[in-house]
Amino acid sequence: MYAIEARGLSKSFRGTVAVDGVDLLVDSGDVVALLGPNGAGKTTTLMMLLGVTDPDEGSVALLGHELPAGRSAALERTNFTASYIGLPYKVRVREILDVFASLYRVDRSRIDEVVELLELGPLLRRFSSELSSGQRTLVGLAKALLNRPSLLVLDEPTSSLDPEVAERVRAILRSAHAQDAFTLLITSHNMADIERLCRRVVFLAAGKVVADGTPAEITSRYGTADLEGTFLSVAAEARDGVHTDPRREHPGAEIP
Amino acid sequence: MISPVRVFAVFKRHYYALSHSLPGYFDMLFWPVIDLFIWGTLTAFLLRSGVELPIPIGFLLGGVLLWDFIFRSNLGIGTAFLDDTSWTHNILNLLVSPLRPVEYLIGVTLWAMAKVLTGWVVMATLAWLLFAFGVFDFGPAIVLFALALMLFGVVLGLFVMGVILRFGPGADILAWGLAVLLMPMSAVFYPVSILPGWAQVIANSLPTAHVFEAMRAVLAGDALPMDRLAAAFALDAVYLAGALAFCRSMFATLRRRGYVTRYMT
Repeated sequence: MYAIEARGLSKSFRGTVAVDGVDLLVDSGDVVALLGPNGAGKTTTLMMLLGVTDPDEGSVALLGHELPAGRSAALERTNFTASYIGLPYKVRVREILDVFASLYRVDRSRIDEVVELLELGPLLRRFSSELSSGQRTLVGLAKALLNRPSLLVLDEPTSSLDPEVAERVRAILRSAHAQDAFTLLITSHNMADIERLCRRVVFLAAGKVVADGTPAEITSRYGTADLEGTFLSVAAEARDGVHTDPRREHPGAEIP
Repeated sequence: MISPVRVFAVFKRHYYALSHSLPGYFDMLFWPVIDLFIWGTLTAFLLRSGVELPIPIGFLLGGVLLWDFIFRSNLGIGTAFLDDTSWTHNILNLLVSPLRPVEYLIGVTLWAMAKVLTGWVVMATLAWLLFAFGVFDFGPAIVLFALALMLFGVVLGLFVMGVILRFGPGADILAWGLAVLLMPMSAVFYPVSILPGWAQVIANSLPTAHVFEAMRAVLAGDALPMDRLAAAFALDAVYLAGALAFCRSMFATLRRRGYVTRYMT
């Protein structure tokens, strides 16, 4: 079964095409990166996958639940966090986790488990307004792991983090994934995140999927030494209005 | 199916925020007390001056005490929603959770009601202690007055929520201003009959004017005018249905036009 089954997703805002016919099929348990330059349509795609924004065209099913009808059922087993989400102000970390544990209807003992996993004990009595950006990221990640998601979606989880905290976040994700075998869809501009975490990479440019494969396949296809180089090539092509279509160049590869 | 646990989670989220916020307590208690003090002192002054009024003197304090139900219900819902959207950008955490819109609405409405009733008990106690004005002089009708007015406050709060969903943080001012805009037509401190003809038409289409007319009748020692209360509740029901439809439509617009990006830091 696919954890994510999105077909023909399109979205325009005031005549500007943000996402243009994106197909994204993600197997259960897979770890997939959605990459692309700024404005490529990554966040819009994620918002459509999570049922926050309605697509103009196309369909989405999460964990076997068709959206929008099955949205609530799908979201009970899904979670999401991003660098741009805020937390309730003047609320203690413990209270924030308590609220979200109730929203996801999980047992209070799960709070203690994620607190231990993310080593958040010293922060529990701190107010969200007193946290550094790195600490807020960890609290957001704790919130995202509370319901033991079958599907975890992360948008730029390590942006604005120093390398030490970013590595800690990657280690936590690896550990949680090893334990719960959830499906992970992640966007990042940090190619180290992607090369260390992901088995599959999907590149978006100007709202279209322009490459899809394992990191090794993608770098080989673009003739670059690493994903950083591939990213720069994709960004340059997007800027020049040149897009390769992997379905045309590599029929049958990855995208059904 | 509505989950009481998720509804309570919304309530708890706002309770936690208030419990650590001195300005929050200030907002909940200080302004109602100031209102009460000003209008109570004016009432005392009029009484001592021996001014003859065509309606019982208690209408000023009664009006202030009852108006608080509308103003605070509207404000409670509006500011709870602003806290989740414009002020903390927490809304995306809620939108990606299994929380249903109706559960959120019930949660913030219950939270606003809890704040209104807490503030109102303080006001009513002070009115009795400082100005010897007993809210129980209204008799059991006080419960019906409060319910009809709080329902209309909820209507205004939902309308504010819908406007914020559609127009974003720029519409914040409505949370404070909308109820005040309707105050002149609600005939809080004077009878509807004193308004010009066109304004009476508007007043009679508002549940608030019917409640305040009923309040003045009760203070004058007349029987509770049930026709006024029936009109108030019927209008509340119509406006509530309209406000829910408006909110639902604005939420659909937010999803269709991708306005959630307004709340990404």
